[in-house]
Amino acid sequence: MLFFSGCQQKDSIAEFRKNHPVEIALTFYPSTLRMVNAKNEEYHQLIQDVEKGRYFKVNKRDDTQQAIRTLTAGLLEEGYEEVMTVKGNTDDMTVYALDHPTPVMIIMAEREKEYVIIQVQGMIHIARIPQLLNNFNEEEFLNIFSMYDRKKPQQNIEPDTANSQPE
Amino acid sequence: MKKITGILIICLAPAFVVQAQNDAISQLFDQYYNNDAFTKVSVSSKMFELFTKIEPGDEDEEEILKAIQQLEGLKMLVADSINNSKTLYDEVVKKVSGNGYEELVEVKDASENLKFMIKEKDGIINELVMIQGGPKSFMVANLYGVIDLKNISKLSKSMNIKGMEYLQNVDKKNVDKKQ
Repeated sequence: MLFFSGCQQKDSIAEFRKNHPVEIALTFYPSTLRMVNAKNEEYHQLIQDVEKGRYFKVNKRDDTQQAIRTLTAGLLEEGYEEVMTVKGNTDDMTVYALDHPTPVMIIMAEREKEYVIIQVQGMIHIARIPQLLNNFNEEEFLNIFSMYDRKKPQQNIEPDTANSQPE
Repeated sequence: MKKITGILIICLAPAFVVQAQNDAISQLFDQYYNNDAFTKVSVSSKMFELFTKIEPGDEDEEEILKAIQQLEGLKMLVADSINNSKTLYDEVVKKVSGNGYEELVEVKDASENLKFMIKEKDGIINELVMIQGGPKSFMVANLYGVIDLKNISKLSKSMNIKGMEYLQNVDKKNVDKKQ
């Protein structure tokens, strides 16, 4: 006997976006991630197994905290687990992870006037972080997020679209 | 710099099972949880399970991943600018010492005090506590799981984490003396 539920997999971030405005929404693919720091080999090795990255900036409104709570509850329902918290004097950060064949990590940072949500599908090669840090030169490392915030002309950064949902 | 600090923290983050691994540290964490002068970091065990999916690229990476994969938890309490850092350092050292921990390394100089303490069972180090106190700064880190001091020190050294280099000088004989 076959049972077909016909239920769609829940996407809490998509639901969040339907109910709350997002100031900035970016999607990054491997080619994009590689291009913005073309010279940095350690960085390429770090992100080589990242399949997709999404970045959202959400300005705080009266209903934002509730929307974030709903989003968090939705993530836990989807099977995400809280794997890390950092509670600081200015920013708080929580990291959730979904242990799939291709893991997904969601980093939620609360700042004074905004939330930043970063979703990473795939693995970051943490063992390569030491090399990256040892050779890190901030001037050569292009920070695409601050680029976008300053509203400079940019290339190869794709605005998020409704179709660019992680699978 | 904040981004680098964030990456550093993530990289060092082992899994953290919610148990009373160190009552003194847990109590401290709870005590200062809502105090904005302190940054609190805790990491879940799941983070480590995810690391088992990574293929190492070379021998060094393999050792680093091995060191991380055997860890089960991390809790850190950090303050950059507090007035009672010396008092707090002494208080925490006293609390942790009274909890069955063994001193591994102590470094004292004009500007800073640093102490490493461990708890071991059957020859395996399963907890490492690092307590650091400066003129205005304070940090306590509690790491647990199966801890290989050499590999943890190697990882920390490659990331220039201040204080951890002293672990390199801790010979295994200091730890295996009971065997």
